[in-house]
Amino acid sequence: MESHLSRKYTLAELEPGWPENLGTSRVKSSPRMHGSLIMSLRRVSRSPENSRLYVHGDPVSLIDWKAYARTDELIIREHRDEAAAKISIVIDASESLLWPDPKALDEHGGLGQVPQKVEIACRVALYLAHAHLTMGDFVTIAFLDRDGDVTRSWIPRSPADLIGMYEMCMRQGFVEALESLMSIAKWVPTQDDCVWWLSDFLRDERLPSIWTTLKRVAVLHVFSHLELSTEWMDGSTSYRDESRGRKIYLGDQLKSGQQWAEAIDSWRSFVKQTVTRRGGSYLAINNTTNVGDFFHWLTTEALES
Amino acid sequence: MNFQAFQSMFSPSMISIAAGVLVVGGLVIWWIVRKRLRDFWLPIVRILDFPVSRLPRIVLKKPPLIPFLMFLLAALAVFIWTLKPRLRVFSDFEPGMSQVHIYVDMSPSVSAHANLEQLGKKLVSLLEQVGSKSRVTFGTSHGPDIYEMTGASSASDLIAGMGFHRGGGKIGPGVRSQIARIGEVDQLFVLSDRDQHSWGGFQWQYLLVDSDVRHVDLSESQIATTPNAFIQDARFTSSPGALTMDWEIEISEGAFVRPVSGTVKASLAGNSLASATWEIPQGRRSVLVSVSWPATLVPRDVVGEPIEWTIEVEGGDALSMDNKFRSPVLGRRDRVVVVGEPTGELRLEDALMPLETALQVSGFEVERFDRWPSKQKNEVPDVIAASRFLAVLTGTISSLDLWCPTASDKLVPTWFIPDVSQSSFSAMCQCLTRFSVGVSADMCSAGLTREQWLATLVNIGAKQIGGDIGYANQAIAMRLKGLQSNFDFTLLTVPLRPIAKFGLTWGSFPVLVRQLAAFTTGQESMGTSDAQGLRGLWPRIPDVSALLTGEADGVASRTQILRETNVPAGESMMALVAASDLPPSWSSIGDVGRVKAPSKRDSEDPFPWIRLLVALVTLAILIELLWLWRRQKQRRVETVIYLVLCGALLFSAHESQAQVRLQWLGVKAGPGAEFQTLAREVSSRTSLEFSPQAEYVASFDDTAAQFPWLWTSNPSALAGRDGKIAGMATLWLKRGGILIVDNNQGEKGLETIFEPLMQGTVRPTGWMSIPPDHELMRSFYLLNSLPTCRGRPWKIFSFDGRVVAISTPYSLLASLQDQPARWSCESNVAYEQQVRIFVNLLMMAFTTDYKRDQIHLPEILKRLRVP
Repeated sequence: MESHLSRKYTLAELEPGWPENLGTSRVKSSPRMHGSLIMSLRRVSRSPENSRLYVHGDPVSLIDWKAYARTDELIIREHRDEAAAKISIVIDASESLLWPDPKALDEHGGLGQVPQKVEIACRVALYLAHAHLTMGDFVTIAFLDRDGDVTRSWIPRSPADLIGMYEMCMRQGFVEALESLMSIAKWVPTQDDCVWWLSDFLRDERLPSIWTTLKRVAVLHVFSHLELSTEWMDGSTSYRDESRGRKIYLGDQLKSGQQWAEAIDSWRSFVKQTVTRRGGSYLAINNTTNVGDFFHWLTTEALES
Repeated sequence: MNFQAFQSMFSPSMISIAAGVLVVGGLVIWWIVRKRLRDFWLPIVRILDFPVSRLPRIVLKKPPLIPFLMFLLAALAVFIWTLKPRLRVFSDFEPGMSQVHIYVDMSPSVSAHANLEQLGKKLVSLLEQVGSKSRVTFGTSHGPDIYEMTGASSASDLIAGMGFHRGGGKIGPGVRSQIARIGEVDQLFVLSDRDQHSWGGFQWQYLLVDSDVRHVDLSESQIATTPNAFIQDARFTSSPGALTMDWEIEISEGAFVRPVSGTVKASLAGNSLASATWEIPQGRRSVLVSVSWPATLVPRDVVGEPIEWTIEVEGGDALSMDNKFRSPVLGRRDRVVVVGEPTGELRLEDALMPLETALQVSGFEVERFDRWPSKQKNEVPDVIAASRFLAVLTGTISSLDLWCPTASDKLVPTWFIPDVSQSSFSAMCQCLTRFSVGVSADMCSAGLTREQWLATLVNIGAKQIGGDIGYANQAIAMRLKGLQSNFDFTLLTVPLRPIAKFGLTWGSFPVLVRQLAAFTTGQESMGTSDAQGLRGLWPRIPDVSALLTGEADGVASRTQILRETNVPAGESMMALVAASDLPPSWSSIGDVGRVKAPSKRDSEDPFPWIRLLVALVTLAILIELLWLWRRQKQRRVETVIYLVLCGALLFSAHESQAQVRLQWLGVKAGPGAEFQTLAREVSSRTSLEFSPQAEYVASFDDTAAQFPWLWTSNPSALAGRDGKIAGMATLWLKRGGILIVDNNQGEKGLETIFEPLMQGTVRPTGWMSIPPDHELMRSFYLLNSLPTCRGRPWKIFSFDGRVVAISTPYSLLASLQDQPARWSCESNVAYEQQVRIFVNLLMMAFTTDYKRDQIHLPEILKRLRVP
């Protein structure tokens, strides 16, 4: 059977619910679907889901001595349980995420088809939303508008909503399809257990101030693979940014030396430091990022904490 | 599509406009494509913080093919059409065009196309048209005078007053002399027809460098089809002594378009002599007409008047000026005055009878006087002045004054003929005492014999006529001429009667008299005047302007030139020059002038395009250098060298570097020696340019090491402190330099100096005499030997088989200077040999031993006459 392990899928191929996550399959096989949040119970539960065999090092006080007497096995009764979490997924839809423009790519030549950054962000967002809904969490998908504020959001009710949304995205385009279902609603992320933040952070040199009020934030820094190297650039073409400052660099200038790579690295580490200083987790992704790497990050850093 | 539509569509203007649109279109497309390719939106660059390059640098890039081809095509079209301006409208005067000169051709051929009034009107209208905006002068072909118009009538009056000149007019010399007087001329108008004779030799294209040349054409189209008959020549054909004057007139016709006929009339001083009819058949250019009249019709007293030949052409003639032709009066019999009293009743007894008869037979007209036909001795009678010579019988007239001239008389050549009486020689002698010829009265005794008289004549320098040279007593006559040619006496030594001793018979008298007359008059044809001398009076003058500036000879006064000379045949031929060979034709239409012919100046002057090409190439080189500079950072030193080399090629090349110079070592300041003659000799004999100035080098240094050869009279200038040749000089000699030690005095010193060169060679030869087959003896001239001086020969020093030094026993340079030294050795050798030796040296220094090649051997052996 084909799986994400046997083939190197990239994030540009990611769909909601596919490929399956290990964690997802664990949830699906469980009779309980309470959500992804682990909460401490007031007292020890005797439910089978909270029982397991004693492992060396476990507190002795949690051993169910009666069961030991009965079965001659050391059984631990845990005092935690899963609960539905409140999750927000914020997608930055600013102009810089609409890069690269397919027409401009054609005229530049020699680059083939490269998905826009916002498509990658949307694919990841839909996947995450699908996973959370499958686990029984509450999910809100929000758009950052051009001013950096969240004014519109969409709350999918079931994984089936997301599948439908994905099909709509494939037909109409990701940004247009998502925007069509969004309603104007006040978004209060302070109650959320976790906020997924997908952006390229090119809108403002300062990072969003709202992060200070969030319980937990997981940042996915979205790039296009073209932004990470200069090999594709043409020496005689000038590359410009039309926002503030209106910078223009000639291809030769960008290609010469290590300046480009150093600038990207320093920008990435700046964002990462800011995120980790607030207890969040950070991952830089692009359209060529391996799905396996993404899952690894999810299971080791993002979800574990 | 008809031709006119085609022509208007493909007119130069339309094509130029289309080409311009194509050029602009190509540029726009190129620019647009370039812009789109070069601009790409990349938002992430906003996080970059290294310096911003707002302006993209210039990058050499291959342009898109189609726009570039369009651009090239359009540029080529514009270029080609720029070369050929088809129509130029002569609009307003340019600001710098201030001096305008008008040259009015008044040669005979112009009179066929316009009369004086029309010519004057044309000139006045042209003056008014161009005169309002610039300074206008005009001149005519009459002479180098320059005129400025003061009023409208004055110019036409001037033209009318001058009239057409009968001599030919060449526009080229006329324009040249007038421009030389004016100075710089911005525009030159030539008012003339298209006559080939007038325009011949006028290189008007050279004037285009400084000024514009325009031709105001006076040609009338119908003249080209009108015949023009003229008298080509008039030849006198009568024999001497004939009773009629026979002439052969050659009448020619220039255009030979149809048969031409008419009459020819001859007149002298207004009196008609004869007339005849003539006809030139179609296809022939000329016809000969015989005209004759009795010799008596030509009066003797009409002197200096020509015979006027006039032809009348039936059906009209193009040019009337050449219908009149003047020729000298030929065939008029010369008069001889004979003075002498009759010595007998019968004619046979008359001593002068044989002379008279012989002169008449020879074609002279004889007039006889008993005595000198003058009453007052100091006046020369007309009858004598009009005679060719005078014959006086001496001895018969008693009084000397009655027959003997005096020194103050203007005399014609005179014969003195002795009588049979002994007193004749005495009378002759006494007559000669009147002239300062060395004869005194005491020599003239009454009984002067012939032998005595002859001896006296020989002593005073008379020349013997007849008889063997040195035997004066065999002489028939003696000739005595005054130093200032004031008299010319022929003194006969025998009476005119048959004498067996001298072989004189009645029959031989005419021969004797004819020979004597030929001797006296200096011409062979007897009885008539000198045809050659008279012919020069009414010449055909091809160019009046040359005559007036003193470049021609023959004719005296200006009036004669203008009125009496004959029209040159070139003018009468009325041949036309093609319009394409003439300057642009100018005609006026209202206020603007119109130029019809193509202006060759624009199409033929390649210098603007060459300059443009040079500028483009220079620009391309500079761009390439910049490109090299940017691309190859590690090779910037090489780029700088490349740049310096290019600059050196442009700026440091000098004409003198193409010359061979004489480099003179060991001389601090130039002694002022010049080699002008030598330079001329070398340049004329060989293909080398030799500089007449020597280059002086004080000591051997880096500069001297660049020279191919060095001359020195002080070889120690090459030596170091140890007295041997220094290292650098050794290297120079080994690598191709040649040293000529001029005027070497001591060989020991040379051997010491050249010691280092003896080492390191496979064949050390040292200083040795020059073998006869050495290349120095063959390199240009084949020399047999070289001159020695006091026993010292020429020597050479070879290194590796090549001559590196030559020592001369005397100073070759001193003998080759413009003012050669007069020392013993130097002056003993002919200059020619010195030059030959120098040329051989020169050739050997620059070509070494290429003459040793076997390919030259046959030629050398042939010239050496070796079998």
